[in-house]
Amino acid sequence: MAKQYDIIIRLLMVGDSGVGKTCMLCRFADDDISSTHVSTIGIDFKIKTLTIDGKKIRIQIWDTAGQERYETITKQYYRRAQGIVLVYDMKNEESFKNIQKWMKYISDFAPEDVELILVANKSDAYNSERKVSKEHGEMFAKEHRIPFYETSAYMDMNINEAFIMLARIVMKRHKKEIDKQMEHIRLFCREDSDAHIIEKQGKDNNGCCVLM
Amino acid sequence: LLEPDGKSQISEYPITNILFCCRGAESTHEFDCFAFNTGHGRRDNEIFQCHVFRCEVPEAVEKILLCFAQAFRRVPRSPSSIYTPPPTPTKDLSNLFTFDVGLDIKEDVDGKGGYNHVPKEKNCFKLRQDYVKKVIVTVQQTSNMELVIERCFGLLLAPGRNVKHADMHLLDMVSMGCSGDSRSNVISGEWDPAGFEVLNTETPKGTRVFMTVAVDLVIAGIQEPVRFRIETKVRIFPPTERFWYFNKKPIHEQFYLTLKEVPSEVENEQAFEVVNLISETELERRRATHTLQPHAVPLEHSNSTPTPQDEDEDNDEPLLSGFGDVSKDCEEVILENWGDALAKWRTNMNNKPKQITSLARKGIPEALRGEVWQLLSGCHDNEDLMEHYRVLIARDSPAEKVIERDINRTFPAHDFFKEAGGLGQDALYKISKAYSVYDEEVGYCQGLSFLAAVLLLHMPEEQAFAVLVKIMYEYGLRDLFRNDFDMLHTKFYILERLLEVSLLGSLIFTFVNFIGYLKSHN
Repeated sequence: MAKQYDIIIRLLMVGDSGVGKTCMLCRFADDDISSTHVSTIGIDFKIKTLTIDGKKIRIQIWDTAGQERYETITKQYYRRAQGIVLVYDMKNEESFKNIQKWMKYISDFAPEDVELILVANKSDAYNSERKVSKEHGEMFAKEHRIPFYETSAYMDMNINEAFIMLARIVMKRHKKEIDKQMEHIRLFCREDSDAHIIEKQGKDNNGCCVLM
Repeated sequence: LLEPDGKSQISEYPITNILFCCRGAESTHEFDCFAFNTGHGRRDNEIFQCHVFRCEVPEAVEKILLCFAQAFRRVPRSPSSIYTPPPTPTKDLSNLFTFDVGLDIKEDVDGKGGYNHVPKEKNCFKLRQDYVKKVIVTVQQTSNMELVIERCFGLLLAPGRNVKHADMHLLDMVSMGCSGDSRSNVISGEWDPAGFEVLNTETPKGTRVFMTVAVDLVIAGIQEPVRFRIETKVRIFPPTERFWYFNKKPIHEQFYLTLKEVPSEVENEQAFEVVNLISETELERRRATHTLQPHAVPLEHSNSTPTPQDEDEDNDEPLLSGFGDVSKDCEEVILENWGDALAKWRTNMNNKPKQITSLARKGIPEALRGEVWQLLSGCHDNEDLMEHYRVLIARDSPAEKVIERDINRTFPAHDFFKEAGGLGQDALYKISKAYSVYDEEVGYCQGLSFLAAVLLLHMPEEQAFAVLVKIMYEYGLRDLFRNDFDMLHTKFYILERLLEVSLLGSLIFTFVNFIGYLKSHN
């Protein structure tokens, strides 16, 4: 069986309870928005394969429980993340303030070269419901030099854009390893143009690059 | 059923009349017996009979039941063959024609004929007042010799269901034609909202109304037009309502049309008469009123032979997360055993009958869980705790907000819990809150509401609370939540080490086998 992807990247979603992390993820991975999401208990994950710049990327996204007491469990997953989506709810000021706390956990537990994006979810809100202005979000993102998106999982706004942006910057960060791996895969193709040999090699060698 | 000489017949039962069969349990006196029951007559005065047989050779019982199982599987599961009146011959399906009928509604959003699909939630259309609407019905035959649909005689609409012929209103027909792939007929008609007051009045929050759409089709060879009726639910919103989520798929209904060939007036042409036309929904409804389940598998062999129910599970509705439904099927014998054990237990609450343990390990039947869980956890005489609960729910909890956020995320697709502010959600909120006050150290922890919800499905609030407290304190669950999940981490660690050990074991086992294999082939 041929490998379905060239590269795996690992993303993680953090943010307060109820800001819509699971909803965003379901929208992105399954294009599904049902009102029936259960609260995430501990940790969960989904996978989506995308083609970016001609490379097949398998994106593994870990979804965390936002409730404080699960932090001892979720913190263990920071270490393996290459990209982190920081989510707050623009209708909930507390969740925006807490981004500071999530940032601290990231600096404490995530690898140094982890890439981040900041996402203000629930942009389908009416103006009167909005508690955090776009400028505030943008300012925070600028300060920390990370991309910023306002999204709505409900209306499918900016969801793909946000995830793909993060995937791209993660790929850019790990460009060296990826290029090496892609070269590796390409070499197999050149050495022997018989497709099934490549497949076989791919199987033996996993044919993909797992970035640790 | 034949005489032992194999020639004369004692009695005959059509397989479609047999509802259930089973055999005696192993190591009982009834081991060499089998029984089946049959039903005759119409729904309102059905007669049931139970036939019990003893075999001279006990082994024969098994074979007989296997024969039953096979025969049941061979009979089509389509309920039309089981529940429709006798004229439908079950062996011969040549007169049964199936159709797939789709229904879709569009609204003229700009008043100039720019029609948009109306959104749909589950099987309910969301309409807005005052917009001119278009009803689109697609009819596609899905089995048997192709019937030619000549034309549509009329497209009708009415609020409500089980609507009488006379109460349906003809719509202005716009068109009838073939779909792109020319396999189905598409009929569409315009619907002026002013003509249907009920369907143009805003429905109160959380309620919906029924609506019936019918098409009369003229089919070649059949004298009378054939009427297909689809019933659906609609909600009506004010014209200014905005919808976010669009599910554009039309609703579909299966129809079973039974025809009878009649002498034709024109030579070389077949002529038919409609015997019966019934929709899947109607069949489901009839089936639901039949409380009997067609069980066909011998009790002792339920693992080795697939039950007819397996086919039932193949439905198209995606399973919603948090559905939380439990199978309510339980075999008679098991219920009887439980009945005996519980009767004994009730006479002396402090003395748990021995057989309870082994029965419980096989799974407690859904219907008995409420009682058994309470008995097992020792909550039967816990008046104090229940009394205390009434005090607790009156107190404030620091976790109120967190709990509120989780309530509509707990089994959100389950009938009992799906309604915001409904009975289920209300009880769930109260229990979770009461527990967070009762146990200050743990308070409310995400995940707890699921536990409470499962209990609530089986018993009243106070009892559910009492059992929750027992589970947390006496069954060690509380320890998992305490001290930042310390105990949980320990358990994870133990699990990982155990996995390592057992994986290592099986690796060594494989390796040894492999060496053995090499040796034997050297």
